[in-house]
Amino acid sequence: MTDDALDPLIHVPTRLKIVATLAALRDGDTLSFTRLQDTIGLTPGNLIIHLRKLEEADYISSTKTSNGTVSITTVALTGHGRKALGAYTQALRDLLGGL
Amino acid sequence: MSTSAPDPLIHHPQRLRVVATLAALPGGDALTVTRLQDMIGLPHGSPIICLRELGHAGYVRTDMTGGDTAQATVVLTCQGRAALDRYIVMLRHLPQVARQAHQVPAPDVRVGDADRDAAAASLGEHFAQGSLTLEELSVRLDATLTATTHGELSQAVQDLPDLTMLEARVRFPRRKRARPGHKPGKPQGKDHGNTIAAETGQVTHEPRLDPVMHA
Repeated sequence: MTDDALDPLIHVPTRLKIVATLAALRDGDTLSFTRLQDTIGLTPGNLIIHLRKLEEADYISSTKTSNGTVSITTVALTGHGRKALGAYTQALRDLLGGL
Repeated sequence: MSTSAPDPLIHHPQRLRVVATLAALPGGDALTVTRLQDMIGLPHGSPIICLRELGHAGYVRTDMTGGDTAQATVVLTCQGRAALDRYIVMLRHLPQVARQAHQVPAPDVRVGDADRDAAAASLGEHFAQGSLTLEELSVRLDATLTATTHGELSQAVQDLPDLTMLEARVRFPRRKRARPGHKPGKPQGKDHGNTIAAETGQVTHEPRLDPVMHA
């Protein structure tokens, strides 16, 4: 057992919160950037950086839609991200045993 | 909120492993540092650093009676166990918080005391905001406190506005209340609407919607 059993990309508290929040959505559902920001309580700049890291690893996907005046960014967990969270949760469960 | 952020001391992967290993021992059992090292599979030296940090926080106690670090024993303190328990509760709470925010549970899912208390508290808040009369409040409180499923619980609050929006609505005029010359007792929302109409001339502007759009 090594330390990378706990996915460092998910382990960071803020990203754990982001991934857990997105995982609570039903498959195919997305969350708007502002809603996510409200739920987690982060500044936009901070959230963007964490989302970018997660997107680079293909854990989340983001879509920007614009109707001319207003553009909305929505994010969702990818299948890969859901699997990674599952593995992370399992690793944590193994670690904590029956506690 | 203490449950919203993981304890940084425990959340660190290596320290988490140390604390979890010690917590799995029967109550009060001590472990030698070398044995701990073997169990965790960490290189020499790194558990010692973890133990020092955890020791400073009072989460573990290291006993070095022999003076030899390799023979030292380490034990989880009550404080450390409590911190780990809090940490585990926080982890369990994490996806739940998110789920509650975005997904309505199925109507036939059973509720617990925490759900009933939360619903009762929100009814109290609606009463305070004036959405419910005292009579309606007591009828709905009865229904809430005896509810067994989410379907029954949601019936009691179904026709009430979203509290987060209500808060936004009252927060706006509350600032105005502090201003001199304002007559107390006048409906707050209306006052706000008149101000807008006077300032911008937008008579058709719907004042009640304004804070909602911000929310």
